[in-house]
Amino acid sequence: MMVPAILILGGLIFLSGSALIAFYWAARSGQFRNLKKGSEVIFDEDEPIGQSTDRFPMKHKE
Amino acid sequence: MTTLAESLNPSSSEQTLEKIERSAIDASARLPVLLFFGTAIFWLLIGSLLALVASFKMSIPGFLDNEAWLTFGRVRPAHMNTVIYGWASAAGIGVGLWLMARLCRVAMMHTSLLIVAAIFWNLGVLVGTLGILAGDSRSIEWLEFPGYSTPILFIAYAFIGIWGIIMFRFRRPGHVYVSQWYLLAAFLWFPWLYGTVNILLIWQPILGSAQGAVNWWYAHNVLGLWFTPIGLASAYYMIPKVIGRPIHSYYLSILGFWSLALFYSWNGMHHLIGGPFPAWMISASVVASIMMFIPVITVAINHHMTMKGHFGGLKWSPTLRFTVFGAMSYTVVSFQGSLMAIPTLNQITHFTHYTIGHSHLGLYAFFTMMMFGAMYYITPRLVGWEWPSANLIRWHFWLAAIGILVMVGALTLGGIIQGLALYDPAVNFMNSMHFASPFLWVRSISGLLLTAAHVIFAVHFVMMLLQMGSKRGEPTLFARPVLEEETLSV
Repeated sequence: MMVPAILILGGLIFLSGSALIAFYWAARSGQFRNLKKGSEVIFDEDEPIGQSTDRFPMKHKE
Repeated sequence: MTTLAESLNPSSSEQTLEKIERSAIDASARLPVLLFFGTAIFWLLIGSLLALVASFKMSIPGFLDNEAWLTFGRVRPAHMNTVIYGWASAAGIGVGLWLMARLCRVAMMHTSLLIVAAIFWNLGVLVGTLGILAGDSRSIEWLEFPGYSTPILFIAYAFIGIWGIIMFRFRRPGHVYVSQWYLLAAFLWFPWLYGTVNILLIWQPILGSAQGAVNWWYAHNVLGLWFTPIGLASAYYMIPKVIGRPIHSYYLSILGFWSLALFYSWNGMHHLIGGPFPAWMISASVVASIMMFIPVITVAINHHMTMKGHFGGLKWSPTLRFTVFGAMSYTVVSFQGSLMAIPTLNQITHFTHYTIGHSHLGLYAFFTMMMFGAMYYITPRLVGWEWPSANLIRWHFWLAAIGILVMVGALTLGGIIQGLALYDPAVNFMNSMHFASPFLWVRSISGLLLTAAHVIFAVHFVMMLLQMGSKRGEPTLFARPVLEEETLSV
């Protein structure tokens, strides 16, 4: 019974700890600052804001 | 090509500094993601067939009952586990892998890890499903796979988790997008859930009613900490990318992520309201279920406000249509789930078909539709070929959408009637069953619609792999400037 208990408690501590560390890291490294820019990271020069990237196949014939 | 050891330290490679184009990332993702997609669709078909057999047995008890492996007690858990692990998880992993590579903005590394993972994952599902049909089901809901198949799935999963962490370490510097938070969390949460439940229920089973608590802690968290984050990660990427507009409030999206992480794992006990458990366990779970309104409302506001003024996109984009259907269902299913946790309402809905309707709303109308949407976006970029037929996509959408709405509607209504009848001491128990039986016929018929939708999708996917139909433009650059004006003016 010892090994499962250690595994489960260890997993709990590891997971909670990693969540706290991740939150701390995110706050420290400025992940929560300049949120507007954050929301725009999925766009770039090739696929800029204001440009759709998907269509029904038929429309390509136009 | 870097070795596994080198990958633990990003600075040991210069690869991160190179600007890697989207198409290079897509090319690197081709084999592993298509492998997960293809096998997921295969299991979706198997799962649909098993579901139909189980569903018709509810109305025609003698249907296919002369073979032991075709009895309800085996077909029903086989359906559940093939769609959870074979379809939904594999599709989710495929979408997650691709999104992770895109958002980290590096080409996929160590794809051999992923190919091994895909092989092991499917082997695990195959062994598990055959095990259930052979009579080895463990009778633990969501975890019926016999003990000899779960380690195979866990090994497969370990490869994926390790890969996810390596990719995250190697990401191009800069902001970590909200989808990446969701994916990284899901990649870490699932092995924790699956490992813990396997230790406590299979390896060293704990005693008595505590098993129920572990069972529902796991079953509910698979939905909330594995499928939900992957589904939302996909929505937070697909909706802005398809309509070309950043998320309405990025602040809310981050609040939504962290509040989901905080509240969700407490929710499972609400399945055991009225069960033999300490009152505080149930109460804590009911409170956490109500707190889920916070992440759900943030997501709902965000997706709606992002879409506002762009709803015309539903007319032309298959990805958007499926994804928005999924996002709306997410709001509905989450509200419904929180309300079902309130003990006075739970008294009526517990042990009825209402709950089955709720779980299909979550796993199908939300998650599966979200995955269809993502697959319509991702597959052309992997294959370098456009979907051959818009009509097949339309049929797929309408059959799936109508099918699931009818199914959820029938089960919800039937469940309420059944629940009220069960709750009324004046009503004979058998009558409460008879009241529900017309709704079960409707459910079986809606299941036929869904199966037809899946067959269409599977055929289309194979046509895609074989590059049938005529060549249509560059897959990585769908939008044409001419079309852009048209879409933005809608």
